[in-house]
Amino acid sequence: MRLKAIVLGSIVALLAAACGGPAASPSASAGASATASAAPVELLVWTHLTGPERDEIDKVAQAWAKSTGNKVTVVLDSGDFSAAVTAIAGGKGPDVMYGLPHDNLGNFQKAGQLAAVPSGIIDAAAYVPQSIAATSYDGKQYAVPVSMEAIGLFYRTDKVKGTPPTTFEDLRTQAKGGLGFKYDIKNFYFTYGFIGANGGYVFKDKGNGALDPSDIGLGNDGAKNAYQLLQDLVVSDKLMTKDESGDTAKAAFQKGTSAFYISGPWDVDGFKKANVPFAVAKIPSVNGKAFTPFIGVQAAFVNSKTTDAKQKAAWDLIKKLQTDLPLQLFKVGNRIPAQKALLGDSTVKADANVAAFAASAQDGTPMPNIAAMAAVWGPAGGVLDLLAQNKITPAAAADKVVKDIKDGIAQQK
Amino acid sequence: MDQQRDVMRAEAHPLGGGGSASSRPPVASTSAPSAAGFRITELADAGAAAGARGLARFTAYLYLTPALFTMTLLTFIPIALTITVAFTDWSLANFTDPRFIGLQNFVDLFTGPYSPVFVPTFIWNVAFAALAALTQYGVGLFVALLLNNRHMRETNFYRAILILPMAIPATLSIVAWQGLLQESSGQINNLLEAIANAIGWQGFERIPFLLDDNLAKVSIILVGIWFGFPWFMNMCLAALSSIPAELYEAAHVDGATLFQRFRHVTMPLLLSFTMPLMVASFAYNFTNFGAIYLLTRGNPVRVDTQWAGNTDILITVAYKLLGQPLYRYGLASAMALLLFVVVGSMALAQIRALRLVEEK
Amino acid sequence: MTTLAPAARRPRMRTDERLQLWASRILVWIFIALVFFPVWGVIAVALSPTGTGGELIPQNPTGDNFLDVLTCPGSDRCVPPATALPGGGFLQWLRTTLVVAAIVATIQVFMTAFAAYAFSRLRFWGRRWGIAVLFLIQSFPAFMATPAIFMSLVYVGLNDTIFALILIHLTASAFWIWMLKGFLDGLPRELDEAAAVDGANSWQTFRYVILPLALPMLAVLFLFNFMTPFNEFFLTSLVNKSPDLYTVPVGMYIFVRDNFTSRYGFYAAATLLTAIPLALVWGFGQRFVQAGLTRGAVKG
Repeated sequence: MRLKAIVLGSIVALLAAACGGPAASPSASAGASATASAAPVELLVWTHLTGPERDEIDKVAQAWAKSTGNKVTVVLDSGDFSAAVTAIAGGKGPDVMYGLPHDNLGNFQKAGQLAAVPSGIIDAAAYVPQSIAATSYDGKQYAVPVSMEAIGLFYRTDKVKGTPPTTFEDLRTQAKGGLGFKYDIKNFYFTYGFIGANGGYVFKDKGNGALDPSDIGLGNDGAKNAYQLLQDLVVSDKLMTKDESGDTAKAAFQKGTSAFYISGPWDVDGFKKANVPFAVAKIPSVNGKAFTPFIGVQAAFVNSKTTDAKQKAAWDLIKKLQTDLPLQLFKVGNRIPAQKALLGDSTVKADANVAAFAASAQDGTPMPNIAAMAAVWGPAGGVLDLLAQNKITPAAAADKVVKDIKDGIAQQK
Repeated sequence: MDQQRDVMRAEAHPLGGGGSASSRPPVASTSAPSAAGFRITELADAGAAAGARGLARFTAYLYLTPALFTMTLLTFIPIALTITVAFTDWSLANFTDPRFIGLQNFVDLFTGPYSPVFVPTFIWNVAFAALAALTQYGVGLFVALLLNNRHMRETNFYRAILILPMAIPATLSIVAWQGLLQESSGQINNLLEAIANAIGWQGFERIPFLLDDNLAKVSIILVGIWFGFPWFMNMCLAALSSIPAELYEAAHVDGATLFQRFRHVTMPLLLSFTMPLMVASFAYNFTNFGAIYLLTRGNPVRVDTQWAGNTDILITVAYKLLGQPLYRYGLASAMALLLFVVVGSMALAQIRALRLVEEK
Repeated sequence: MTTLAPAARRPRMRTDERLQLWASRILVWIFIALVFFPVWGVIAVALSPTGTGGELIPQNPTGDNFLDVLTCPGSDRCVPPATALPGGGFLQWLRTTLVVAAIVATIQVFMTAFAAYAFSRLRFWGRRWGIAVLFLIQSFPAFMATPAIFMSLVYVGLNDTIFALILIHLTASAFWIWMLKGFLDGLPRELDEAAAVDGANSWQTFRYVILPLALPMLAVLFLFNFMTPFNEFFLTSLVNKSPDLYTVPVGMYIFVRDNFTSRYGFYAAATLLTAIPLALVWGFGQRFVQAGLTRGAVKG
C-alpha cells in the first residue's frame, strides 16, 4: 500500500501540476463517510446490458433522480471486468453496477468491492432460487438478481415438420438426415449442458450453495462421454466444421442450411427482423437425462468503496429499479425476469420463446460465481477446440482440462 | 518586417540551392560514416559559436520541453510504474495491499507452470520477427525495383495504390483478413475452390489457414507482408532514387547486363542504407502484439499447455497474464521487464546501426 | 536535383528496356491484384444484401449497407440492431476520431519539429546521445505499460474525457525525432548562417527558414500520426466508456461484437467508408512521403 501510494501519489502530483486541475485524491472517497443523508448525491451507474436496455434503465433512474433530488448518470460499460475493478479501487468506478453477468461477481468479491445487500431491499423468497444462489456467497446476499438467461433450441419451422425433437438422439438423426444442426460448439458456455447431462460438473456443490474449487468434475466418466459425443458431432457426423463459431452457426441457421441451432434470447430479435421462420423449444434430453444449461444471472451490486450516503441512495435506486424496470427490460432484452411474480405476468407468459428458455432454465445450474471460475473458461474452451479439431482424445481432454484448471487456480494469487 | 524579408531571401541563397546536401550520393555517408559525422558536427560548432552560448543552451531546452514533457508523462512514468510493479505481488486477488516481494515474480516465471512455454515461444518469437522483417523487406525491395524504372511513367499511380495497406486502419483490415482466411467460409478458400473446380481438380481440400499449427504461422507471416511491405517499398524507392543515374549509364556503356548492374551498382548502395531498417523492423516485430493477437489470439491451442498457444509470442503471453484467469499484474510486469532486456539490447544494436549517437 | 534525373529525362527505349518495362508492369499489376484482394473481399461483403460474406462476386449487389452506415440510428430505414448504434452512430464516431486525429497529428508535428530542430541545430548538454537514450527507453514494450497509463488517468479523473483520448496518443517518438533530424541535417547550414547574419534569432530561423523547407517530412509525420487514433483500440476503450466519445475502432468493435454475422455487411461498409478518405489522403500525400523519406532517411 505504502509503495503504491508513493508511486501513484507522485503521478497524481505531476499530472495535477501539469494540467493545473484539481487532483482527485485516491483515498478521499474511501475516507469521507457519514455525510448527512439528506444532501443530494450524484450516482454513477454502469451497465453491461445492451444499448436499448441502458436507455430503459436511464428512464427509470432519471425519474427516481427527479423525485429524490439526486443526480444519476447511466453509462454502458463494455470493457473488461478487470478495468472496472481497477476503476473502483481507484475511486473512479461506478457507485452501482446494474446488469453484470453474475459469474464475474467473484472478481469484485475477491477485491472486497461488493457491499452486502441491506435487509429490506429484496425479498429472497420472491426470486427464482437459482438466481439467489448465483448472487450470494456462503449464504450471504451480495448482489440483486435483475434477470436471468438460459439457452434454448432454435428450430426452423419451415424445415422441421411437426413438433421439435424431445431427445437429442432424435435431433441428431434428423440433423444427419439433411436438416443440419450447428451451434457455437467450442464455447464452454453453450456446451456445458451436454457435460452436465452426462454427470459432469464444474465445482462440487458442498450443499448450501457453496462451491468447492478443489473438486472439479470435468474429468469424470460422464464428462468423457460428453466429450466423445461432441467430437463425434464434428468429426464423424460432420454436422459442424472444425472452425465452427457462433457467427457461422447463426448465419447457417439464418440461411436455412441448418435447421437446428442452440443459442440464447439475444438472437431472437435478429431472427425476427430477418424474417426467419423459427421457434424456440426446450433443449432435448441427452441419453434420457435433462440437458443442464448454464444459467446466467444479470446482477446488480453497490460499490462498497463509495461513501455511505451514496451507498444508501444507491440501494434506494436499486429498489426502485427492481419494481419499475423488469417488464420494460423484458420487452427490449428478452431476458427471463428473476422475480417469480413476473414469470406469471401476462406479457411474459404470452411469449412462447421466453417460456421455452424458462423451461430450459428449470434444469439448469447457475454458472459458478466464485473467482476460481475465471480459471475454467480458458482451459475448457481450449479442450473443446482441440476435440473439434480431432487433435486430442476425449480421455486426454478430460485429464488436460482438470490439470489446467487446477494449475490456473493455484496461480491465481 | 525587414528582418523577415531578409530571412525569406536567405532561402534563395546561392549556396543553399535547395537540396545540394540531399543530392550528395548516400555512398559518402554510409561507407564512411565517421567522415560525414565529423562534417556535420563541425558545421554545428561553427553555427553555435556564432550565437551566445548560454542563451543558446537555454533555448535548446525550451525547444525540447514539449517532447520531453509528453515522453515523461506517457512513457517514462508508466514504464517506471510497470517496472516497480514487477517487484510486487500486486494482482486482482491482492489488489488493495500489494507488497514488495523482491525477485519472487521472476522465480515464479522460471519455475511456475508457465516455464515450459518459454523456450518454444521464444524460438517462434525470434523466427517470427526475423521472417517478418526479411519477407516484408524482400517483397518491398522487389516491388521497389520494379517501380524504379525510368520508362514507367505511371509509377506514382502504382505507388499510390500499393500504399493502400498503410492507409486502411489495421484494426479494421485485420478483421477482414480473419474472415478471408477462414477454412469453411473464407473467401480465399472459396477462390481456390472455384479455381480447382474450373480446372477440374478433384482432390482439392479447403485449407485450414488459422487452425493448423504451421499454417497459422505461415498465415501470420503472409498477412504481415501485406501490412508491412509498403513501408519498405517506400524506403527502398527513396534509397533507389538517390542513386545517381550516371552510375547506371556508365555501367551500361561498359556493357554490364541487367543482373550485373543490380549486383554491382544497386545492391551495395541499397543494402548499406536499408540494413538498419531491417534491424529496426526485427526489433519492432519482436514485440508486435497486434500482428499476432488480433489475427489469431495466439491460437491454435497447444495440447501440452494452457499458458501459450502455437502462435503466441512473448508479449502476447505477458498480456494474457494480465487478464483471465490470473490477473497477476506483478507477474505480467516482470515478464515485460524481461522483454525489455531483450528488446533493449536490440535497441542498442539499432543505435549503432542507425548511428543515433553522433560521433564527436 | 539528381534525385529526379531518372524520371525527368526519358531517352528512347532500347528493345531490352521495353521488354523489361512490360515484364515489370505485369508483375506490378499482379502485386496490385494481391494487395487489392482482401479489399475486394470487404467490398463484396459490403455490397451483398445478406452481408454474410463468403461470396466472391455478390449476387444482387446493393448499397443498403452504406446507407445504413451513413444514416443509422437516426433514419426510418434502420432496423435493429442498427437502431441501437452506440454513441450516435458511425458518422459521430468518425467525427470524434477525425477531431482527435487532427489534434494529435498537429501537436505531434510541432513537438517533433521543435525537438528535431534542437537536436539538429542547437548546442546543449545531451545533444550527442540524447536521441539514443530516448530511443533506448522507448524500446520498452510500451503495450505492457498500458495499464499504468490507464491507472494514472483514472487517478487524476481524466478518464472519459476527450482530453484523455488525445493525451494517450501524444507521447513524442524518438524514432520520428531522429528521422526529422536526419532531414534537417540535410538542409544546408548556409541558410541558418545567412539568417543569423541578417539578425534572425533561433525562433525566426526555425519558423521562417527551417519549417517551410521541412514541409515534406512534416507531412509524412502528420500522415503517420493521423492514423494512430484509427489504429488504437485497447487503451482507447479502457480510458473511455462514454458513448459520446467512441472512436471508429471502439464503436465498430462494440457494435459488431454481438452482431457480427448479421451485420457483417454493415461492418464492411463502415470499414470502406473509413478507409476511402484515408486512402485518398495517403494517395495524395504519397509524393510527400517519397520526398520526406528520401531525404529523411537517406541522409546526405
